[in-house]
Amino acid sequence: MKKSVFFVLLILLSINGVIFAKEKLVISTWGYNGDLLKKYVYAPFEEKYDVEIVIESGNNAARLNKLKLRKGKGTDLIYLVESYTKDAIEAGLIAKIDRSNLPNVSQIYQLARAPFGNDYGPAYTVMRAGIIYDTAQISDPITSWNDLWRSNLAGKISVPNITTSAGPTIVLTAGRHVNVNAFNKPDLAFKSLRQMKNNVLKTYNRSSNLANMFAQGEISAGVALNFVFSRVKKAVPSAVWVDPVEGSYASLNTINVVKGSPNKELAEKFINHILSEKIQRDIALAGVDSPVNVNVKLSAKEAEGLTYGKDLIASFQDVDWGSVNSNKKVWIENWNEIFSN
Amino acid sequence: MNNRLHILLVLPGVLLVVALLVAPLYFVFLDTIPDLEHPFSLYEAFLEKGFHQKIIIRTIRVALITTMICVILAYPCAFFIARYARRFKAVLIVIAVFPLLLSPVVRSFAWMAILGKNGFVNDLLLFFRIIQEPVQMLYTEGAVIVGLTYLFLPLMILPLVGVIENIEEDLLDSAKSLGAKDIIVFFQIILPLSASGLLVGCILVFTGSLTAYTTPRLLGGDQAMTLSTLIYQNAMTLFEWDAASVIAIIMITLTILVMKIIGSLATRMNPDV
Repeated sequence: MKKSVFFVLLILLSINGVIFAKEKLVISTWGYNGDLLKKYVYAPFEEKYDVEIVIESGNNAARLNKLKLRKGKGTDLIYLVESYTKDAIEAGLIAKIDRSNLPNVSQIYQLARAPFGNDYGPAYTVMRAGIIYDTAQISDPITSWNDLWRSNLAGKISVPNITTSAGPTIVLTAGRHVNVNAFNKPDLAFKSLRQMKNNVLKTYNRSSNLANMFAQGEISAGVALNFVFSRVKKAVPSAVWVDPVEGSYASLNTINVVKGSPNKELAEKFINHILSEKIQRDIALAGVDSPVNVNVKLSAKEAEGLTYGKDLIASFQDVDWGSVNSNKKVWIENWNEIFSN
Repeated sequence: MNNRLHILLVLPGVLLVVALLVAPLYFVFLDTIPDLEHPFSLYEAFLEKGFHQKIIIRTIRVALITTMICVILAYPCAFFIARYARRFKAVLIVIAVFPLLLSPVVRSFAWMAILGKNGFVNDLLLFFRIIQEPVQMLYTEGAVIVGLTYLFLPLMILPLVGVIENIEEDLLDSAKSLGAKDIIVFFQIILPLSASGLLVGCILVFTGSLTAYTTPRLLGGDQAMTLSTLIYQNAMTLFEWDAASVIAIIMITLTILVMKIIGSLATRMNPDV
């Protein structure tokens, strides 16, 4: 008798599990700040829509590769930097979104609304590339991208590897140093990069590598995205951030629905959720991401280390990520020839 | 009947190896053959680039230097553990194996702290006024060799301990009593008799160094790019799986070639190997 009651209970519990199991939303994103994102972004959404969020983490390349191999199956949403977003769209992995489900898009900066057209997802944060240098080691202030070619910086700087999010902007910067467009005159841009090589101790692939090189005293200056600065500052208090006088390249992080997602509408609601004023403010105050929602107002202290403010965002130069991707293979070969030889 | 039983017992293992090792390698190889008219065109395209040739030579050079340093360091350690350690033998073997118990990332970061400009070695050299300003040691080929030697030394020590233990003490005593100097005893008795352990150690260290990824990535500079880092770049950044497969097959071929060379050298030292 006891056994039969036990089995009936077991069956009822199983049925309950099947029938009342929460809907799952699988999100592919980076592994950073997982706890803060859970607290400020995922948990409120889970509560509001009675859904369970499952995170798949990894770097851009690994996650996009996984998506390609699985032909998009098993993932609902994917966070990527621009160059990889372009790649994912070209591979046919991204679903066209229904903008009527994203009313909050009207509250975000123009440059973040539709980086790849209205069919695809918006950017939820913006970063910028700049220069970090240690004032204790370099007395002559760095103010311009051209300073990276200064002879007194030999073996003292690090730049992001071409395979990272900000890497291709180094090629564009090298072109600008000799007043040419790197897409039209790649030979001259890479010749200019070769002249900078003597100053580069090592290129880096992860932001933590850059922070380590500063901490170990290996380098005195480096090109980085703004989110890296706080880590470097913690290790080297005399480090300062410089927005070069020529202006900077913006780097946008996008969010898109994966083609074939069975939860497309819910996924779009999630995109709308992360663009909302409250979430954007919470996440900015936690120091995770810079806000793109224009209604988010931050004090100068709160905005420290973030990419914030209309004037700053208006000063950014666009990067043609389509052209970057189509030149990627040749650029990587040229880059390797210079830095690995 | 007995033979059938043997075959049946071996069959599951063989099938597993075929399914999980031989078949994937076969498919990787197939990816590198675009068409039968020009079956090796991808290899030709890869090998004709001077930059790729340099990476191949650098990878082999790093693996060979690491293997040689491991041989030089492992013999005295193995000899001491096998002959004189007695009741401390187990403890010494655990100490020798210790680098293998650490994560490659932790190990590499430890070397960063030692070899860095603010690191222990530079501090020591500055303290004794051997140098006037910190020397660049990190992010060089030398740093990669140091990191790989630390990692793979146990793989050389362990097989050598096994074979040196089996060399008869009387044999060494006889040689010495007949007037052979220590160096003669080493080269004419110990080295040939430990050739089998040396062969195993060399293959493990060389293969490990040739295919290492984390250590060259963290301790090496841009000029220390190796075949394994190039595979990662092709597969994970460019999504060029064919090119990554070509490099993988080249690495396998190199490993087999060097194993054959080391094997024939060991046979020349001791024909019984």
